Order: sequence, then C-alpha cells, then structure tokens
Amino acid sequence: MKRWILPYCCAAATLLIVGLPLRTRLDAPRLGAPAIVPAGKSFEVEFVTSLPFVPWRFAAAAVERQWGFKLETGQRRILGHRRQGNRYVITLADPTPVEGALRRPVDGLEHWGQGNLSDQLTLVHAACFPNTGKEAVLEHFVDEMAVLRPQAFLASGDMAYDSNDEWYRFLLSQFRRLEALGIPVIACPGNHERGGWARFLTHFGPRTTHRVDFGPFAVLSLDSAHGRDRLTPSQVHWFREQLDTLDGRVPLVQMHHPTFPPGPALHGDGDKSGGPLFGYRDAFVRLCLERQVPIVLTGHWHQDAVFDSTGRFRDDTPDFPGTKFVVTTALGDAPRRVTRWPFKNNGYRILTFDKGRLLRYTQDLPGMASPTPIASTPSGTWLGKAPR
Amino acid sequence: MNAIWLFLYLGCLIQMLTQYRLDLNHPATLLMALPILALPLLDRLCRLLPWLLGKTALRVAGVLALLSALALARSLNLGFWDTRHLGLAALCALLGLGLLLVVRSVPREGASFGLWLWIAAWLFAASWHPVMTFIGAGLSACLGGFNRWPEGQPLVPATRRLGPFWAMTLLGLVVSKPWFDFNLESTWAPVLALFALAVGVAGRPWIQKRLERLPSAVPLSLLALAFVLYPSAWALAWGAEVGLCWGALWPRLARPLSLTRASLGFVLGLLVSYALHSNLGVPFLRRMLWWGS
Repeated sequence: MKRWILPYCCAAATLLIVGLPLRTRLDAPRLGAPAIVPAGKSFEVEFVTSLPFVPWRFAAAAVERQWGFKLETGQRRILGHRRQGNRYVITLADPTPVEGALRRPVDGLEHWGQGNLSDQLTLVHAACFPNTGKEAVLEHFVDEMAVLRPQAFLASGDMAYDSNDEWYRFLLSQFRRLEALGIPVIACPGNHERGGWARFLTHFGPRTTHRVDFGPFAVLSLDSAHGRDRLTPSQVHWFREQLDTLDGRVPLVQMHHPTFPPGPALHGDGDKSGGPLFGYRDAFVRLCLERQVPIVLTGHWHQDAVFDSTGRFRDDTPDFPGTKFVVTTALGDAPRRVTRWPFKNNGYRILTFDKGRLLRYTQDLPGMASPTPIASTPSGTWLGKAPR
Repeated sequence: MNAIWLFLYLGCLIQMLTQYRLDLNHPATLLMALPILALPLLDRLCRLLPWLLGKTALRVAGVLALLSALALARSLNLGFWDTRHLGLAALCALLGLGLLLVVRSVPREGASFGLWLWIAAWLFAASWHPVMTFIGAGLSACLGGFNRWPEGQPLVPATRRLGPFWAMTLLGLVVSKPWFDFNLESTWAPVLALFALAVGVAGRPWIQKRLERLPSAVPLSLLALAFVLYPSAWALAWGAEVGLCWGALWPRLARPLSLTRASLGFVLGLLVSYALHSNLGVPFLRRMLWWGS
C-alpha cells in the first residue's frame, strides 16, 4: 500500500488547489424556490462549498461573504446546523413579527416572512413565457399583477426560449419586480430551459424539484423535462415523501409537461404539440388522487386544457370530483390549437382559494356559460390590451 | 490504466455532457469529441511518430492532462457546464488526449485492489461536484507520465474470453442508470463508488477463484437484469451487485485490451442508455426502464 501514498498526497494537494480560496454555492432558498415562513418558525439555508469537510463556521462566513447577507441579522438566529461532505444545512428562525401578509426579503437571502394571510388567497399560474423581442409582453404581465396582486406567482417552465444572458437578466429583473410588489415567485424548469441548462441552473440553483410551504399550501414543483416528458424514480420517491409529510397542508403541484395526452380531444395534428408525461404517469396520478391533491398545474401545449384523473378532457364543466389536471396556455409564446377547445390566446391562470379549498381556476369568457370550463385568463384582462 | 480512462474520464465526460446537452453544430462539441475520435488513430500515430511515447512527450502529456483537469475543475467546481464554451471544451480535449497518450504507453494492466479503490475514491468525490473525477483522471495521467503510477500486480487474464466491445456496451447501458435517475442530485456518486469498490473486491484472489468458475453468461445475464431491475431506493446495493458482475467480467475481456473497442463500446452503451432514458419512445422498453422502482 506504500505505493499509493504519493498519489493520495497529490490528490489532497489538487483538492486544495481547486477548492481554495473557499467559495460557496447557495442551493436554497433561491429565487424561484423561496423560504416563506411565519415569525418564529424555522427554515433551512442549504449551500455547498468548494472544499469538503470545512468547519461549519468557516463555511457560513464564506456563504455570507459571497452572497451578501448575514445568517444572523436582526432577530434571526441560527438554531442548528449539519454537514454532509461539502453540503451544509443551517437552520434559522426569525421571531420578528410580520406586519401584513408577507414581508419581502431584506437582503440577498430569499427568506420571506409570512404574516396574517387572509382566508381568501389568489395565486397566478403561467408557463411558456414570451421570447426575445417580446419583452413588452412580460412587462405588461407584471403590470397586470400589480393590479391583480396575487399572493404568489407559479411559473411552470419554458421561461427562457433564448438562453442568452440578456434574456435571463431581463427575466430576473421582471421576477424581482414581482417580488418588489410582494409576490413571491415559485418556478420549475421546462424543456426549453434545457437549451441553456447551465445558465438556468446558475440563476435558479440546482434544486429543480422543490417544495415551498406557503400559507395553507405545500407547493410541490417537479421537473418533468429532465430527459423529455418524464419523471424519474428518485423524483417520484421524493414526491411521495413530501405528500407523506404535509402536516395538514394542501398540496399544489406544478410541472411543465401536461399529465395526460389530448386523446380523443386532439385537434388535427395538435399543432405538432400535445406531448404529455410518459414515465411514471400512473403512479403520479394515483398519488395525486390518494393524497387529495386539488390541482396539478402544467404548461407546454400553449393552449388551455383540463383533464380529470381518468384522463378525460373536461370541456363540459370545471366542477368535477378528484384532482384537476390543468394545462395553462402560453403567457407570451405563440398560442396553438392542440385540443378541440376552440380558444387560442395568450394568458395566465388565476386560482382562488378559501381556507385552502380550491374555489375557482377558470375564467368566465364572454358569450360562454358561467362558470366557463377550461379557460384561463386572457392577457390584458386586468389592464387593457396586451402588447404583441 | 485502461480503467482510469474508461471510468474516470470517458464515463464522467459522457455523464456531464448528457446532463448539460450538446449542440452538435457547435465547434466546442468537436473539440470535446477529439480524444474519442483520436482513439482509432492512436496506434498508427504512435507508430508514425515514435517520439510520442518517449519519456519527455509522456511527461508533457501527463502535466498537460493534470493542468487541464485542474483548470477545468477550478472553472466548474460548484458551477454548471456551458458546453458551448470553447475554452472549457479545449481543456477537456487536452485532458483526454494527454491521458490517452499516457494510457497507451503503459502496456501492463494492473489488477490491484488499490487501483479500484483509487477509482472509487474519485467517483465518491463526484458527490462534491462531478468535475472532481476529472482531477482523478488528470492526476493519474501525470503520475503515469512520470512513471510513478502504482499499477501493482499485473492482471492475469481469465481463461474464458469475452469481446470487449459488447461487454462494455452492456456495462455502459447499465452503469449509467443512477445518473439518469438522480440527475443533479449527487446521490449517484456513492453508487458508482460502490460499483468500483465491488469490482476491486471481485478481483481479490479468494473471490476471483470462485467467480472464475461461473460461465460468462451468468454475470452477463445479471448485468442485463440490472438494466431493467433498478430499485432507486436501494441504489447502493444495486451498484454493488453491478460491480461484482463487472468484477467477474473484467479479467475475461480479451487481452491485451483493445482500448478503441472497449471505449467505443462503452460510449455506445452510455449513449443508447441516455436515449432510452430520455424517452426515445420505444413503447415496450419504456415500461421496462425503471422496473423495480
């Protein structure tokens, strides 16, 4: 074994060369996966360091230096810490009372304080954002949110058709505008983010599957686009674990790919879209039904659609028992005609809840019966005509 | 040093590229593929230019491989790989070419447990960041270039022989499953480390004697079974089982090992596995991909 002393000594030296000076990557909470916690409740800050087995105090100092926040600030205190290799998890709690519904992050840490949320909550869901050259569409959407004032915004992928730096800078600036309005952003990736995967991960962190507890909800974001249109075994395992530890919260699920195919509702060639979730669909649907998930929010098709748990296209009524598997049209990219649903427009979906119970998820359209099934809210509904 | 090339360089390169995607029309892709494209030409090149296997050239190759690995690791550690970045692609190519030359210059193949422990240690280090395995590859190349590579006991080829291409294709198909299951989560790294450790254990004389008695069909079938029977929650046990199977097969590959055939077979297996796990749309296979999970 003596022959191996030199290689292992060299190995230790190379690790030091690569790891020093100590750097960190903040994995949680991040933009798109914030920690929203009531005063006094604990939350976890997770990060990795460029060198393993560093004492946690050094690691904590490095993360503070690099990311521009203090772990202990005001009344926020460290409650505990743990380490595995180069991964550190620090538990914090802030007992400062929160005035109003939500308190925005005060520093570089995506830590939102949760105050007294009303029983009636409004969330907005969107997917398939506009492309380069249509920045005004996204700006207009944020302007509409300033009027609508939802309690949170869920973005289900295809936020960056162009993976260049300019687009990401613009996208992040709009998300920051939403945050400045007091609207936290909860995001998951779609298939188009894979085009510039490194850039997406740099801005949103490597946790593409995550949970955000918010008011009465546990928002579970899945990554259906890791290869194409499928979940992985470890992801389904994670999903089941989250549903087992809801602590009385209502699970809301978002991912990019629609759960079901259009089936008999397919219109023509579905504008060559209509790709559903393939891997683990049955297990996923079964879990949603068993654990009474009220709604699964998806995008990808650029047209609205709603299915029940048997995969039946529900253009008859928005009110039916069981989980609603919802597809929301494109926020800014070209709308398509995938199903027999006759409308094709840009828009977003407004979800209203009362004490965690889903009240509405469709928008009444002029000339249609009320409540209108399937329809999301056309862009410009709250603030005049949206730019094209 | 064949195992270093296969498991610390080639395997991890494909793992990272499948994660971050390749733009086949981009010159960076060609750069990264250079070491693989150079494989079939290497023997001829070394015959034409014998100084390539000279002491100085090997030292330069080893140092270049190590420096490229360190530069690559410093750039990518904690970060994510923009596969269109020409500089990173060039570093990756330099590492591969340097390592390839050193591997080609070491005719003897070791069978020591230490070799597989070394591979396992670097695969485990991938749980800190996948790019760590490249440091292992670069460092091995440097040690080999300076004739400091502790290869140990030479491998005694088994009496039963196997073609390296198809055996490596099968291994590529199977061993990549944890990558496609865990993706950005580093959980796959300990699984593969355990795989390498199990290969090393299978090479210990007392267990090798017993494994040698098995007809090749047994470990091959078990390996094929591991492709469809993959229990995600028991991935560590799965990794050990695959490692033991491969440990039984590794000495049976026809020696001297054709690095070109072994590498191309391995790459083919990894890429087919990626295509299948990315939903190639084969209806029957689709249902079988994650049996056991």
